Amino acid sequence: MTIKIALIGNPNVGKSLIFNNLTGGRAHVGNWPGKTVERKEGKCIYRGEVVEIIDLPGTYSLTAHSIDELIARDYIVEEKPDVVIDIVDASNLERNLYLTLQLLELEANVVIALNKYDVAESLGYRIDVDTLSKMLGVQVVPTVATTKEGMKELMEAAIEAAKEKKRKVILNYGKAAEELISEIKKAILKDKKLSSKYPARWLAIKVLEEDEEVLKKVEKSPYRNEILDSSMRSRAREILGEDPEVFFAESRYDFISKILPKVLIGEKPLTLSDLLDMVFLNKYVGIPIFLAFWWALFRFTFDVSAPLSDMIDTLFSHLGKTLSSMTTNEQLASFVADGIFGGLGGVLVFLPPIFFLFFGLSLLEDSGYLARAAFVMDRIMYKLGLHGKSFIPMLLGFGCNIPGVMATRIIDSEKDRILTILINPLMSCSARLPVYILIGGAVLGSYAATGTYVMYMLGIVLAIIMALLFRRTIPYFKGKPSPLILELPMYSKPVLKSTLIHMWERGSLFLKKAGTVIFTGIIIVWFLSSHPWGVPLEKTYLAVFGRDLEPIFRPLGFDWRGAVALFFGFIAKEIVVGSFAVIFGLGEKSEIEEIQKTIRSEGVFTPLTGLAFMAFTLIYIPCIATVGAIYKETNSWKWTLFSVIYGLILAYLTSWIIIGIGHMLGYR
Amino acid sequence: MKPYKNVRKSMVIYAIILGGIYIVVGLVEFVTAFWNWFIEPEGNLSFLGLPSDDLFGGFVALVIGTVFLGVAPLWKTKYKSIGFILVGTLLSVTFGAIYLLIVGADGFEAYLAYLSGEEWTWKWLTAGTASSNLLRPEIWLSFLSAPLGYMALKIVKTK
Repeated sequence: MTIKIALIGNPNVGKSLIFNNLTGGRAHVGNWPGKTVERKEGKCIYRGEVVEIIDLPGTYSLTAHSIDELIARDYIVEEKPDVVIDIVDASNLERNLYLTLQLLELEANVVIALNKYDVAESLGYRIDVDTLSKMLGVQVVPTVATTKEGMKELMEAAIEAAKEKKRKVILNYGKAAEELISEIKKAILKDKKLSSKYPARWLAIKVLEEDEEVLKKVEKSPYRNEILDSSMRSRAREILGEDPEVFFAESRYDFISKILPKVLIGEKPLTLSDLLDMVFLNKYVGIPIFLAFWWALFRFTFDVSAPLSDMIDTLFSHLGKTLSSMTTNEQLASFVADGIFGGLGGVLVFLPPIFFLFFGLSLLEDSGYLARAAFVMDRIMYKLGLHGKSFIPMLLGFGCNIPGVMATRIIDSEKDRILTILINPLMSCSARLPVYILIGGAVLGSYAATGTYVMYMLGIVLAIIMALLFRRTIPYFKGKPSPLILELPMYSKPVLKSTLIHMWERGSLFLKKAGTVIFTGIIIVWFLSSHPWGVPLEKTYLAVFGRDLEPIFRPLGFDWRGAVALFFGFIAKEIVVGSFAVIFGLGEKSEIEEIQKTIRSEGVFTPLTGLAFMAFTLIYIPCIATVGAIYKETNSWKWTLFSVIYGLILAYLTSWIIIGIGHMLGYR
Repeated sequence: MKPYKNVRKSMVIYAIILGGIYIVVGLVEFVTAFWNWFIEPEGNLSFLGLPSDDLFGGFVALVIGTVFLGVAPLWKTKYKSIGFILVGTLLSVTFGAIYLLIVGADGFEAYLAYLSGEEWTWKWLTAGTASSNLLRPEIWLSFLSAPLGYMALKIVKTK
């Protein structure tokens, strides 16, 4: 007889090492049927018994949210291995026991390998193996995979468990939940085929959790109406007082928190990271602290970098003046002064704030805080229909939407991924920053930094609203986002060199863009605004084109100059600023203050229409490169077009609302 | 941990006083800025000479104050609460440094203006981008919080 053993465990618990130790490293490697996930199998003979060992994908839980979880769960449910060895990281019992409880719920024949036992001891505590074994009703074997300690004992425990199946512990979820479970279980037991294949109690819990894969299985049952009684499921929400999936997860962690004090001998010392996490991840102050750090980043970005921008301004102004005076050709002089130095110089003054922003972001990232920010925000994100991991692409989107869109690859669920892609352009990328600085500085005066902060917040709020709206209205997105499981790195002191490297890697993208796409765009704008040559600005190609666009933007208070700037901003947002510099013909002395002064003196924007213009810039199509990235990542013209169209409609609508509210408050 | 036992209560009192001051400062800054932004945009309400145009700055001071007050359970030997002193100090010092950098940036801008022919002025020391610049209380409060944070860090490292 062959004994089938499945190895399961959280990522990085030493599962592969144990697999190699048990099989002697002889493994057959292939793929799981129909999946691109690696499947590793090995065989060994132990005391005359043939043992077949299969290495399941590393997973934190057994929900159906990712392909790894589904493979592991389906294998245990469908193939029913004789024993499931659950490899638990002894130095992180709390997190690892969650999977153990789910395995017990699945009625798997579990043996626990308490791996990294040496690490736990080095942290100053021991684990009462016997008590843990009694409390869970399974055999527990301490192991150290790196030194092969405990491997023999583990194999013996597994073979013993395969021969003598013991009754395992059943986690009690409390009277109200147990009544619901038992009602559904009764209905499930009527279907002999279903209940003989799957554990009835587990199925009942999964029905309450609204596990999509389980619901699909139950749909095929002749008793589906009884099992999936919708009134019972809505009653479950009322009785349990929250989302049943969250209720069951919290109950499992609650059980774990009761086990731990009984099995841990010697208190685990609190590290600096633990102490900081207690505050940074605090239910009440976690989010306000995050907002405070975000505000610090903004003040650092805008206010501290200001003198450096002034220096670049002065330099470009001087260069433009000097070089244009070296030629007598008027067109060439205009090209150099207005086109190159006026347009490009107007964009390059934003180099310091962009580099400062990335420096600050890198500091937060390298210190380990950004991962906490994602964790803290997940509480809100999940409730608002977004996946917790969506926060990471969204954060990257603050730098540039292209890596933001590409980073959605970390989200396992396709639905959650596409939803995150669609809202990512609402994250205010660094290219929008110059527009905020220009317009904010021109019309918002001392509230310029606040106006910019509000734009960033508006982007986040709109992203959440749109996610919620899409989740509720578009059939493809219906359902709940999968829960966030995130490995929090230890806090560390950022190293200046690596922070600077991170800053350069991200900031240099802006430089490259400035030298290519932005430069070309600005030259086009210069050409259109200065031709036919010699005519006043109002009669140039640009003005004619702008006047055609103006009626569309008139309700928002933008004239043809604003319309043209927005139109060319489709190529790249930075062109909006360059466009204004070129339109105003401020090439020779296109210091930012000069453009701002012209915006004020010519009445291009009032504080209200300026704010609406900033909001429009924030929301509509980010840039042509991002649209390309969206197509590449969704592989669908339908979603790509949708993102462009909804962006335009939302931008128009939001700006219109800003104008409307402003008028109501008496602003013009 | 005899030294820790000796200083524990003093640390709590110090942190609570500091937190209280931050709360008062934050509340005044927030309320006056809110008034000046939304209730009476043309007016210039100010109180105790504190910045009256920095809504988010006021919010941040409130957050720092609240975090410092979170240390209260340390009074009853709840060691874990020392994390509130660490984070409160981190926030306090971060904002102190940011405001100082802003004052420096204002000074640098004044120098650039002087180079381009404008008259030299020391006004940037007391008024500018960080509202009252060097007179901003958060700068001085950050100096007061630093020793507390240092003490807490020392305790954590030796425990």
